[in-house]
Amino acid sequence: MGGHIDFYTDLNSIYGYLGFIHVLEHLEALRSYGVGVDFHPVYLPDLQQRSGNRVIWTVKARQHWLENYELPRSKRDFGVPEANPPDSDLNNLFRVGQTQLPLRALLAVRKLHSVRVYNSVWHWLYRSFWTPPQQCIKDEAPLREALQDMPLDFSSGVHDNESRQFSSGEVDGIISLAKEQKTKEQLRKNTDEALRQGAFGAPWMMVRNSAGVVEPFFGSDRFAQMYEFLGLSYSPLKLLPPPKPKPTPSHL
Amino acid sequence: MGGKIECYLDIASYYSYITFVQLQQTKELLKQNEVEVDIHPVLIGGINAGSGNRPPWLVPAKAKHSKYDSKRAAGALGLKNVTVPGDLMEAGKTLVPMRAMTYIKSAFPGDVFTTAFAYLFHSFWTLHKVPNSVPVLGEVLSEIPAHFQLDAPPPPSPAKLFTPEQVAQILAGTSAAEVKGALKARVDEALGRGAFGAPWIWVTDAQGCSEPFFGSDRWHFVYDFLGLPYQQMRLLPPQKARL
Repeated sequence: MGGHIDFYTDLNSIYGYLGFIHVLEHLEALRSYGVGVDFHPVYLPDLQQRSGNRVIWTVKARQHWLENYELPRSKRDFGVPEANPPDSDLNNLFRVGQTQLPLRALLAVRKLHSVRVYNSVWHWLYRSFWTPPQQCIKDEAPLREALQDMPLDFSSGVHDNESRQFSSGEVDGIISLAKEQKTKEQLRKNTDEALRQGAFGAPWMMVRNSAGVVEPFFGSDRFAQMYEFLGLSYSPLKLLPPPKPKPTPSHL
Repeated sequence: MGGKIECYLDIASYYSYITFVQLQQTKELLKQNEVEVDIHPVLIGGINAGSGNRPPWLVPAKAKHSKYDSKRAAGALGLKNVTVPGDLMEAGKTLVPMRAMTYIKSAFPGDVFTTAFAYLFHSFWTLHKVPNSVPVLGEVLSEIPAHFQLDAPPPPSPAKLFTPEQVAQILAGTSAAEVKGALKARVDEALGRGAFGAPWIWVTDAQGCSEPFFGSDRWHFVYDFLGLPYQQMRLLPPQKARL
């Protein structure tokens, strides 16, 4: 038993969001196996460019499949059918996806608050970016507003609608630390680290099993393989036989 | 219940191999659910050219990562000794073997087609005998054991799937105009159905509605679309050790 998942992601990544949802929902279950999880912000446009995975051309057929089939199915599957970036035009994702400020804010929260709060802020900012009404949290004013509005104990799912996670003083503290040079450098260092490990996209996970072996995993659709690698018990996807028809009662 | 799964596969496409094996392993259950399966030999080179797509492994970091992903995909199926046969760009020129598979599908029974496809995948990815030229293809076709199965040890009997005459017939088929035309038509059909890679999976439900699926890792979406009963992938609590 035991192991660890280092989960690297950016707020502007839909598959990062889906993978994040899965891991967040399984935090307790993973803990029951002694598997710890740490979330790390990386700046995805930088990661893609530097790994040579920058898509400068669009394959129309792939775009069509993504928009009409793959993304709607995946979003439904993870329980966020309405997820869309602020400004639904995928071509503008480049602009609204310049998420350095909220990623640095996450690093600031990690420094100033507990891990539990930090994980909740990830969840809250992902929701703010992706679910209606989408907030353009790459910009300071919407980001401040999102942090200000965040309910206390957001991830617990129990909200009294009154209590807020952060006081306005705490929000100031987060934003001001986010803007410091050392925080900018930390985000760059995270991205460098992910690149060094072979990352080319998000979500990127470095997983260590109980034998101390570390392997990379990419995407929101490899959790069965991850559980296999970690030696956890799981039931695989399995097609079943059709249900037997009910036998008709015999008449004597 | 009911419906049809059409898979466009090329031997040079690793995840086509994975999909092929997945279909073999779920064959019985699909049949019980009254789902028809139809495998179409296709050219991944043709699909890439027609869609403007490029193989993902041209990005170095993706090529590096594919070693992990491909090993795990094979492991999940119990498939062993599967590795890239040298330069994949070169090995991807599968015009000759895919024409052969097109011909075999039209001229031989379904189980012969399936056995031949299985062996060609095996030859490419495990034996590293890439059957892209007529002479090498001829050798490979002549070798196929009559009852070749991917997950079974080699059969003791030396009976072969094809007689020498049949091998000659198939090789002649690879240069026949109607076979070339049929393969090109399949590539065009796949492109028309939105393909930009392989495996390309075209699924039609019992009401006649069709949707595309891509890759060997979206079967739960296929099952949802067809309304088939399935068990979801689920993390379980730690199992108590038996005393």
